[in-house]
Amino acid sequence: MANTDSHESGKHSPLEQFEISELVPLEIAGNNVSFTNSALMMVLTVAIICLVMIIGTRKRAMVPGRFQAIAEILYEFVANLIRDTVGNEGRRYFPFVFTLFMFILVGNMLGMIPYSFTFTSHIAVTFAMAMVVFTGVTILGFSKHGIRFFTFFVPPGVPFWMWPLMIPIEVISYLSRPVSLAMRLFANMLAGHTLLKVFAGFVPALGAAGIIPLAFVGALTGLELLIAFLQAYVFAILTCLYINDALHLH
Amino acid sequence: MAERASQKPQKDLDNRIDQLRDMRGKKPHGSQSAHSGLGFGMRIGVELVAALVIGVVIGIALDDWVGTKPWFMITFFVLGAVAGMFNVFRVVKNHGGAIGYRPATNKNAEPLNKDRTGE
Repeated sequence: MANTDSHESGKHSPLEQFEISELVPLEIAGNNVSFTNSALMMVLTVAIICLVMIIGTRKRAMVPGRFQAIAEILYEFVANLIRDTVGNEGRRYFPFVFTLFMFILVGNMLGMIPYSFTFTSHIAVTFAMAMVVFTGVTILGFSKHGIRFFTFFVPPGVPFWMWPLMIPIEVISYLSRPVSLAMRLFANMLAGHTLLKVFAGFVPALGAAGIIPLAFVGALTGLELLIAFLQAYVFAILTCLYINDALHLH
Repeated sequence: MAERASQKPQKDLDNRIDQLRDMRGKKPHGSQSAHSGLGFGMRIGVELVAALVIGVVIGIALDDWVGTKPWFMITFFVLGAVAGMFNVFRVVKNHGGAIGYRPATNKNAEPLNKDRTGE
């Protein structure tokens, strides 16, 4: 059971794992910019990604070794994703999508390690990433099409007397993108990890019958690993779709 | 099949590369279809709620600004609900993430279809 250093009451809350603790308290101009456990996990994530990629690309062998195979598989996965959704013009956005995908994937996976912290389970983190995607894609659309970008909000084949109804719907639809992007990742990670802890709490409470929830925890851990990958994939593919929309309008 | 392809003139090379690339691109995609199905399901629920939330937020903000307490909120609640349903409809119809009615993978799908009808 996790959270051994819990409150005096001795009760373990399944939400305790999401608590942010300040490791190095810092304050700049009245703002709390402490180095937290969340920040530590992010630094760790970036370090792991850099390490794997640097080791993987160092040898450049004809027959790849383990690390090179990992790097190549990841590269090809994201490259195919972009080619399938955006096409050839999407290639120059590869670094952006790859960075996002790796950051979320490794962050989710690190969160699956017991006693660690899942920074993607905080909406502040996911919403920040979603807003970067959203503003970036909007700027891209404007720089590519200028004022014609607004034709994006007029669906083709709709008679003009329907426009007053359709345009607000389309604008809401567009503005809901970062919200849905952020909420999906955050909610999935939060719900999954809470569920794991709740089921884990049943194990000692049920005594010998605790084997049943224990089996559930085992199965759920597998499911969570799948979801950890899946959410990174969904975030990346939606970023690609949005880039595609900004590049090609309709 | 291979013979016929080799008889084609050189300028067809680009097409063939594209075709082969499509075939290569399809393979990993096919094996992921089970994963994508789950991801697909997860997208839908959030899509519905997100548009509704944005609609209500816009409505409340407009109400605060203009001073017509409940009316903009009610209007935009309905519009948000409609937008959410539209989004779900588009995702299910495979018409991209949200806005617009174009298929998301038109870059890929169109040349593939052309090749099929051409043969």
